[in-house]
Amino acid sequence: MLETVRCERLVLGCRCELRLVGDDRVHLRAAGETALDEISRIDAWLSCFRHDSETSRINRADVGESLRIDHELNDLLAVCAAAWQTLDGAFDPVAGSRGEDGQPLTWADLEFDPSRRRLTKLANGVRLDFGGVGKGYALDRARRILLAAGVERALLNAGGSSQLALGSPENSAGWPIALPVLDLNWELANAALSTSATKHPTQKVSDVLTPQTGQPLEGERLVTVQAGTATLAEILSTALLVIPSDRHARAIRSIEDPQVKIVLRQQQLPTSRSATPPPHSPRVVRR
Amino acid sequence: MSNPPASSSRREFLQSTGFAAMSSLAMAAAGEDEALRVLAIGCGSRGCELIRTLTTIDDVSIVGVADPYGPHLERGWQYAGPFASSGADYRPMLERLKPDAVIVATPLDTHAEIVIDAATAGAAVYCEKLLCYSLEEANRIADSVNNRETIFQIGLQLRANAVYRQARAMIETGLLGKIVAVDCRWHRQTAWRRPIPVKRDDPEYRNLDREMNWWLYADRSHGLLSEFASHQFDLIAWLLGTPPRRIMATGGIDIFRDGREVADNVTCVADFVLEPPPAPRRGASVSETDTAPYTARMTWSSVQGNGFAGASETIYGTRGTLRLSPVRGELYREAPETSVAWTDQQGANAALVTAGKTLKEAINPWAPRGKPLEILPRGNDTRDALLAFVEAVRSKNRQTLCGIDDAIANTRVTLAARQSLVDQTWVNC
Repeated sequence: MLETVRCERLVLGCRCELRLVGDDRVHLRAAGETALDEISRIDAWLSCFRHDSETSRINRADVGESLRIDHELNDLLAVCAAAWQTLDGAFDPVAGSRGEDGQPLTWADLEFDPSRRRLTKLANGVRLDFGGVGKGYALDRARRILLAAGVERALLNAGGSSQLALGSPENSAGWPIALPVLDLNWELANAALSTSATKHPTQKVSDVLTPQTGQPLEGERLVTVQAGTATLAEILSTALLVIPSDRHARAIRSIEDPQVKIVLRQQQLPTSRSATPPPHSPRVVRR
Repeated sequence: MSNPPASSSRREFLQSTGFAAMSSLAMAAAGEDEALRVLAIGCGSRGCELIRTLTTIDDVSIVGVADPYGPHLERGWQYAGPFASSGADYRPMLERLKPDAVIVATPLDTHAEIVIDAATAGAAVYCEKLLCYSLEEANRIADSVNNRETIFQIGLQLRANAVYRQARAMIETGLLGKIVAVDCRWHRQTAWRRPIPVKRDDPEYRNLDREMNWWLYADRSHGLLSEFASHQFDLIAWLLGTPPRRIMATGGIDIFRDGREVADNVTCVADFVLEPPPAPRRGASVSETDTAPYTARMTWSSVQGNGFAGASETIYGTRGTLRLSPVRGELYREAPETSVAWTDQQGANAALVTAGKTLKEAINPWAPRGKPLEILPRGNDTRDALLAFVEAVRSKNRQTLCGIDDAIANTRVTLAARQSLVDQTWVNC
């Protein structure tokens, strides 16, 4: 008989919740906690808010200092570099950095040599921030732990903005996903989902910055992207907030993932959670 | 001995993200010809973290990884890089690779044999705590390491942590006054169990469980005492400048009755005999001018099933309290007892009249303590401990951050606690 076990932890700056389905509760809990341990490891390794993270070590380095990085970070940065290039700078792990003259800095202000696993700052003020990809990467790593443990049905939810589904619940086509602010519901199976918005209803100014200008995003937009990996879904949901909507289709076509699609694109959000949905129905955009 | 197959999860990750452009660049990472050659033995979660960290240090090359469990070996190799050898048995790798240093992060009951083999092969050794399972093993390790003049460091990396180094300086200079008590906690909301990739009725289940959850088996580990308490036992001994004199422990399998053999709920009390710090020149209290050795007591507990307290230490002194964790420290000043001149006695007595209300506030744990002095460090203690080890090996310096004598002292205290847990009585350390 199948049972559902729920594990959660405050990590990645949010509440991470795992729901796992199987026939052995002890095994499910062990798998869930090991997956959460992996998420915690990623958080401790990547967070720019922790002094002991690898990101902080890099951010503390002097201009011109050639830093050796580990293979895992080398791979993740290779993906970030490719995303920066493919998406014309709309995704940038350096976004928000400013130089001594106050001008915005970009990925181009870092020298990344993946063949030698070396990273060098080219300007004062360059700061890495994996906020636009870290949650997705952590969920992908957690999925590997669960699959290795033989867990075939699970939903991983990081703070409500990133979800990753393994299989689906019994007698269901997918895991139920709800977006209360727009009164929307849908199902997710064997895919990842990431939602980015310019700002939370309680925020006056967006905390998402336009990489090219360093300015907070304007408007109240929301994008939900589905992809085969949570890393890709997170990169794309961040980038598509920055990219004008008439260029979204082109951006999506540049990605080599048949599962990629924009699930929801909303140009105007209600001002509070209790607000009624906007008069127009959200569109589901497919490739 | 060979490298795992090329179609690795690393390549899969790079390809799965949908961006092909840079993937090939990362996979084409060049070979390494750095000076210090390291063999990593044990590729569980801690072993992999050590391997990953070592690959960020200049002029260090992981030449091999060893682990008898295939999935762990594969993961260790991912972190070590494509040019590292890999194998289930470390012994032929020691002989073939002739590493300058060996990292040991294996189950506790295997430490002694591996450390002695590595020292015999002429390698420097970094061994995860606890040093080993028994005192008899500890003595054999000490003989081997000392006879061969092996550079040895135990993985008690809290000594490298900037918060604790600052705390130690505060205690040494008498900023806390006389230490009167210490509380240590290692509380977690977890069953502390890894998933086994076969069903429970599979004949392989128990063997796999003993390999992957070795810390839950009494003949492989001392459970919470060896895996967690050893860190804080060493830390407090290092901060106070002396190991405890005796220790008492109680505990049981209270929360997770899932077949484990070690306690999931343990509390210890230990006595430390301390020399008082120099009394302050001005305003010293009667207790602070007493220069005779005295006893301070430490409580330590670890529970599974409640993570409220986390992993933390509180050190109480007559002049202040330190609340510590690896990522943050806070110093709260304590208003000490002060001597009052004869001419002020009347005023002092008058103050006592209103002391009832004041006393009530003072013992309220939620009362404001004033703004603490914060200790906000930089750096990562695991990386700093490994850097110190690498530097010691390069300079052929046997005085490491935490050497064999410290490792044995720590093992002695931890095993005394283990003995007390069984005998339910005080055990001398």
